[in-house]
Amino acid sequence: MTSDLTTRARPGALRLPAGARRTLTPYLFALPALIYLIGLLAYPMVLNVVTSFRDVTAMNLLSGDADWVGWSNYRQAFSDSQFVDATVHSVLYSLGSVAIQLVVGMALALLYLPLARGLSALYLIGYAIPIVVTAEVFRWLLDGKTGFVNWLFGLHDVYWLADRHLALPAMIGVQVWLGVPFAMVTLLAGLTAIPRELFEASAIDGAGSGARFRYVTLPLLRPTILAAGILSLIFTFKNFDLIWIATQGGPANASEVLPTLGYKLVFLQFLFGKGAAVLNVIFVVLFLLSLVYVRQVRRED
Amino acid sequence: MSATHRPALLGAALSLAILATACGSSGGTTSSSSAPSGAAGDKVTITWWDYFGYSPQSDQAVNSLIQKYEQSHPNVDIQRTAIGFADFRTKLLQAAATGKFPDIAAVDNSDIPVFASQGALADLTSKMSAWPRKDDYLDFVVQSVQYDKKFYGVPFRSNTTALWYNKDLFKKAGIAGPPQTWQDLRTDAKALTSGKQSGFCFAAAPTEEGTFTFLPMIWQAGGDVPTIGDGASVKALQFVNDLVNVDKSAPKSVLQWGQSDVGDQFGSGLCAMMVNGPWVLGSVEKGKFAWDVAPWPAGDAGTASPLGGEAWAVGKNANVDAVWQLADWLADPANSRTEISEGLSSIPNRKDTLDDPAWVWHPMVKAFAQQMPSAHPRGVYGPKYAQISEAVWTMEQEVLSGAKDPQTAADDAKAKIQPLLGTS
Repeated sequence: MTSDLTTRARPGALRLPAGARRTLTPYLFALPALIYLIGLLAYPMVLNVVTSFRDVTAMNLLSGDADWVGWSNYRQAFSDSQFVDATVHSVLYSLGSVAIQLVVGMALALLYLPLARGLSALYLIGYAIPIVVTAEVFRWLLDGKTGFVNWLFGLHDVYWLADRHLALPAMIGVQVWLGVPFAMVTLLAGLTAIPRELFEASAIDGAGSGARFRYVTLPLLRPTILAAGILSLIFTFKNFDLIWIATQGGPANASEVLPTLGYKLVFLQFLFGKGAAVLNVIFVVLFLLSLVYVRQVRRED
Repeated sequence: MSATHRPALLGAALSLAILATACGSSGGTTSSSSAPSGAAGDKVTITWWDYFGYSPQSDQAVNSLIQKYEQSHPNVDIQRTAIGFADFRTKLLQAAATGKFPDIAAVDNSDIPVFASQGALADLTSKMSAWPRKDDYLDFVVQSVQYDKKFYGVPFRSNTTALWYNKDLFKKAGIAGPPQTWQDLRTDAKALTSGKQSGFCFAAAPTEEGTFTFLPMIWQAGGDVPTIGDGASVKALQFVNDLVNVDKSAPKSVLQWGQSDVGDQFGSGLCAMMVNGPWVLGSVEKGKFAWDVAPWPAGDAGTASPLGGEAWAVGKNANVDAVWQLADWLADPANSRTEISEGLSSIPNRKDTLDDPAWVWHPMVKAFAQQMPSAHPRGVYGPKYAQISEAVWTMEQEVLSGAKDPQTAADDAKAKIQPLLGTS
C-alpha cells in the first residue's frame, strides 16, 4: 500500500521531502476516517449542543432566528418534574436490569460451562429477535386480562404495563430477558479463558467450590464482568424502541426514560431546544460510560 | 471481545448523532429554489405529499385522483410522494425549514396552525373567501383550516369516531339497543363485563390517540380545552375513572392501547363496545359477529366527537393559482367522490353530502354521518396543540392509573394548558 502511494505521488506536482512525506503518510491514511467522524459524528453533535442553547421551536425553525437562551433549556428541563422522573427511571432501569442480567448471566454461564457452545447459540436466538417483535410479544404476554404471565402465576387483573407501580419493574424484566444472553455469552467466553490448572491447583489446596468462585473465578473474571456491565449499561441507557413500543412511557410517565422523553419533545412537540438539552444529557452519560469502557479495555491489553 | 464490540459502541454514538441531526436542522434558508412550477413548455409541475400509502386501497385512490386530474389537465404534472404516517410531520417540518415544503400536502387538520405559524404555508384567504364551495362544508370543517383568522388550508376529507357495539353480545345480555347516555353506557358496560370480556374499550394511550378519544368526553360534559379544570372536565375524568377503576368494565390496559389495539380487541370479541373511527373496519370485519355503529352516548351537553381527517395545505412557494385549481377540482364530488369516500374510508363533511345515499359506501357510514355534525376541530387550540394534547392525555392517565384524583389532575393540566393557548 505505502509503495503504491509513493509511486503515484512521484509524478505529481506536489513534491515533498522524504521526511515530510513519511510524517504525512499516516495522517493521510487516517483522513477518510477523520472526515467520516467529523461529518457524521462531530458535526451533528456540535449542532445538537448549539441547538440546546437556543429556543428552537416549530415556529422559528424556518427563519432560523431562534434566540440564544443560554442555559435556559437545561434549567427548564432540570426543573421539570417529567425530566427528573425520567432521569430516575433511566437510572433505575439501566442499573437494575444490568445488575440482574449480570447475576443471571453468570449463573447460567457457570451452569452451562460443561456444555457451553451448543446452548449459548440457542440463547442467542432470543437476542436476535427484532426489538419491535419482542416488545409486541411482551405487551401481549403481560396483558392484565388475557396475558400468559398472569395465567402462568394464577394472577387476575394484574396489569403489568398499565399499572404505574409495575410498569417500570415489568420493563426491567423484559430488558433482563433481552440482555441475559449477551451477559451469559460474554461471561462464558471469560470463563472458558480461565486456565483449568488454577481450579485444579486451588482444589488441591483445599478450596471448596464457593472459595474457588470467590478467589479464582471472580478476580480473573473481573475485567470481563466490568466490560460486559458497562456495555450493557450503554445499550440499556440509550434504549428507546423497547419502552416506546411497549408503554410509550406510560402510564402517567411511570416508565418514561430519557430517550423517550427526548423523542417526545423533539419529534412530537417540536421543542427542539429542550429536546436537544435532554439528548445532550444522554450523550454526556454515554460518553462517560464509553470513557470508562475504553480505559477498561486498555488496561486489559 | 473488545474488538467485536467497538462497532456496537460506535452504533450507540451514531444513533444519538442521527437523532441530533434530525433535531438540529435549524438555520435553514428561505430560498425559493423549490417547485420549478411553470417551467419548460408551460408544463406545470405540482409536488404532492400525503401519507395514504398505508393500504393498497387508499394508495390506489390517491393515484386514481392524480391520474384523472392529469388526464383532464394535460399541462399539469403531479409528482406524488407517499410518506409513512409516523414520519410525515417530521418530514414536512424539515421540508419547511429548508424551504422545500411541497406545493400541496394532505396534513392532519389539527396541524394546520403549526405549519401556518411556522410561515410554511400560503395564505389562501382571498381564494377561500371568494370560493363558492366553501359554504357547502360543515362550519367546523371550514373552521379547521383557519389560523389567526386567515385561511391556510382547503377542506379535503373528514372522519370522526362513534360507538361500535357487538350486537351478538348485546342480545346475549338482553340489551335492546346501543346506550343513549353516559348513564346507559355505564350500566350496559357493567352488564357486558364478565371474565375476559370487557364491556367498553377506548384508547387512552399516552399519545394523541388518547387525547383524540378523551376530548369528546370533555365536550359531552359541557367543557372545553381552555376551561379544563372546571366541573365539566372533572366530570369527564370521573366518568372514565368510574368505567376503569370503579366498575372495571373497561380494562386498565386502555392505558397502553391505541386505536388499532382497541379495534383488534373489539374484532376478537373481547370488548362488547368501543369508540373508534371507520379506519378500524378491517379489524372489526375479521370478527364473525353482528355489529353496528351508533353515535357517542350523550353527556350533560349532548353528544360530541372529534374531527379527524386531512386538509390540503399549500406550500408558501407554490404556484398558488395552479394548486388552487387542483384543490377546487378535488373538492368537486363529481370528480372525487368514489376515491374520497370508499377509497379513503371517509365520512361526508358537507351539508349536501351528509344524507347523500351515494356516500354510504358501507352501512356504518350512516351512523358516522349522523355523528358528524357534532364533531369538534382541534386546530382551534392553536399551534401548540401537540403540547396541549400531552397535557390532556397525561391528565387522563394520571387519573386512570390512580396517581391523582380527577380535580388535582385537572388543576395541574390547567396550569400547563393556559400558557399554551393562543396564536403565538
